[in-house]
Amino acid sequence: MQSDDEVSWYRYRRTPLTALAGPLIVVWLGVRIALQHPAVHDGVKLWLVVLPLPFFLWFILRVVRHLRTMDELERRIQLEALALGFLLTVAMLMTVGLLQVAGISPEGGWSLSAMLIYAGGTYLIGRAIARRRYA
Amino acid sequence: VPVNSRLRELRATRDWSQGDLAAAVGVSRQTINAIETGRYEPSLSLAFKFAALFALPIERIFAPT
Repeated sequence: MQSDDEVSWYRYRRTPLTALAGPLIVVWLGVRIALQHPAVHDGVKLWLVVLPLPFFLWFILRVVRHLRTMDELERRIQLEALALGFLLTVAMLMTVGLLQVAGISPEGGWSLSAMLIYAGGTYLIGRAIARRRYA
Repeated sequence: VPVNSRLRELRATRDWSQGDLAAAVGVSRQTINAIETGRYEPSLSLAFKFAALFALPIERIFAPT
């Protein structure tokens, strides 16, 4: 017989951390597309920009709740994943900085959105490395 | 200090799977596997849970290699 805590723990274990970001990413991408539409008035744009913020807050709260339901090994894996992801992102940003100083830039330049995707990718790489270590 | 555990042996005497043991102490099966294979050393609180479950002192379950 499982206690309420155990039932709760298993429920959150079934929701991958990356899946929790789904609603936030959908709203953020929707706002991004809408902001690029020429018919959108400047006054409306400001409201659109702040629209994802409640979703960010919801996502942060869900992640904190998710972390609290993890066991000690999964928390360590997440910590190592974040540390590796952060360091890989810093390495990428420093390299991009040097490329910009050197006047070398890919077509279209480096956007913050691309950096966001890169940061997410480095976290997933870091998590895969950390999980493999304890597998 | 690397730690050896007798978890696999104790689990086998009770005919428990890794999942059974994991559910009994409230961790994932991956954590049990990592402890048994020596890739992860449990926290003191988790070690106490194992001790209570098997009714053994911690030092009878875990020992430095």
